[in-house]
Amino acid sequence: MSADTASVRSVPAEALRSPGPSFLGVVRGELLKLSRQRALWALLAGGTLLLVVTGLALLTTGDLETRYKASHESFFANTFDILGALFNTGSGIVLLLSAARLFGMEYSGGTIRILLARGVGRLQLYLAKLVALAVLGAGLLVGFTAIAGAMIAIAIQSWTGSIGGLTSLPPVSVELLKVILLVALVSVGVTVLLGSTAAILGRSLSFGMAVAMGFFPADNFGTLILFILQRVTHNDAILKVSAYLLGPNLNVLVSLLEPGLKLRPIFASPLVTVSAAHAWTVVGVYSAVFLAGSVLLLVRRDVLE
Amino acid sequence: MDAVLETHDLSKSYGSRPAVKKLNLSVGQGEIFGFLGPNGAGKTTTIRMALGLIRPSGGTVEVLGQDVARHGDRVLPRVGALVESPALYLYMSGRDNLKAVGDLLGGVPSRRIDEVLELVGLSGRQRDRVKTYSMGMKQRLGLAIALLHDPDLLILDEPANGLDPAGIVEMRDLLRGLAAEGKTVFVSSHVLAEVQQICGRVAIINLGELVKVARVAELLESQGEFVVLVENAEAVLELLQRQDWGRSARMDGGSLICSSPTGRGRDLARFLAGAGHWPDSLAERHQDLEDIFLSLTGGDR
Repeated sequence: MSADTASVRSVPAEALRSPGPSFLGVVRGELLKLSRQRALWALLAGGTLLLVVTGLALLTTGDLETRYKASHESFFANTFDILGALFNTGSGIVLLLSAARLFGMEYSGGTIRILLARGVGRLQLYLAKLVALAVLGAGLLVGFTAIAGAMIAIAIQSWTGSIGGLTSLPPVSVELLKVILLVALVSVGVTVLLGSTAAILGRSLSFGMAVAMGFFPADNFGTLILFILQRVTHNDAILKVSAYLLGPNLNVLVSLLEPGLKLRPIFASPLVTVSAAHAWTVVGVYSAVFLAGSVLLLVRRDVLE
Repeated sequence: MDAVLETHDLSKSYGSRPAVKKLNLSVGQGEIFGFLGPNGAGKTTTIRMALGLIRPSGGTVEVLGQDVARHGDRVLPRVGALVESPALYLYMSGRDNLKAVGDLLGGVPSRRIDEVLELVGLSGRQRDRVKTYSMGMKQRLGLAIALLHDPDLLILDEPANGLDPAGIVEMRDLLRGLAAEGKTVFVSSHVLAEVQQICGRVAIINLGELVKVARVAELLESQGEFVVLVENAEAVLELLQRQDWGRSARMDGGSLICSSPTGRGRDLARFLAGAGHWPDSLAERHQDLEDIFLSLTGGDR
């Protein structure tokens, strides 16, 4: 350490003075924290490898080629639906872990006190972290779409000698793609809110990660338990509970929004018939509860870490 | 001297348990102000309230003339703080830690990051992950973070933690240098010898209440007592305690602590010699901060 501080401060004091915290600056800091997480990069590399291997395995089977040649609409409907479900699951894992870590580490490491002691508002910090996670989610969607699109293009090129079938998609497939993208974005949003709420609630990295990672499996597995309970008790009302679980409603959204395509959700869906409006409401209520809960806990609690 | 940090009837309770009771403090610009108290006295709670981390149950904290609870976003960017153990992103490098904190206020020039790293002696390890740092290095990085935006007020909670003796000396010099530049340093420490050496004034807090605020020099001034080494100390003690001016005489270890009939050492020596007790040595008694701290907080050595 040097006592001669005056001589080492070559940056003018005015250049270091800030009128207050900068929201964009806070977001940039959060992105820096995300980008330095080796575990995140390892997860992304693993996910990409898995996507490519799975995609190649699917696309090189003769079944898909036959289906493509028989009906472009049917091929794209099934392919997009499967890819959408894959994205929601894969991105869900990445985002839940990232959200729980980005929030939880501030509590576990005590670094939240550095941030707030600089005058950063609690709400400002919360929103900045959400924005950083949304950027990650958007990046995942763009990356996934690019890789999946490239694989489909390669497959169609090898089957027909041209990628014309992909560049001029049937209108119904374009509509489906829009719905899948919309649901993917909603899924990204809900997932980020869930992961952050878990970490804020427990004020801990490990608690946040455990709850965030356990929520969707428990949610999906819950339908199976409800089904078994109904079989044992013969009480149909039990099945209605599944209509209020988050995961099953998210899983069924695409098929509800595109009823004409008669898509069947890959993962658990509500055990009773639900409408698209109902599914949106359930997803919206969960999101609102996560958001309000996080804000309330962040704003009202003292920072004792 | 303008007040840089002021508390007005500052209070904090956790349930029915009061942690800080109506604390009134005023720290002027350019001061190195020591904040002392035993564990659980309310030091860290006070610091956290000053940094907007904890909401006061009553009263206010003003930093640079503005209420922290209402205008924290305006004044806290001008405060650098190190609260308890340094809080760092262990998976990131030292340099990235500084970048991440610098971004909070819109970013700092890369040159400034180089400077503070140089200042705390971490330039050579700036690219290493913080998890590989020693405790002392983490403390230095925490200090670098506190200094990053060239703050007007530096609030340091136990800044010497983990530092080796050379590091402690360097930090002492650094804090003096900062004060000489007009910066205000508010330092809470258990290392009373350090506080005694660097602080101009100290506040002593115990059980959430302010016990004393005074200049260190005043606290250390002689109380008119003498340390006497003499044969038959017990007999001399009895003799002294029979005098009007000597009732406070007492034994401390093997030494006799007592006042003088006139406040002057030679008159005490004359009295003892006159009574046939020639002292082996007689010296004015100076208390150190630790003695004063313990007597004010009711602690034992």
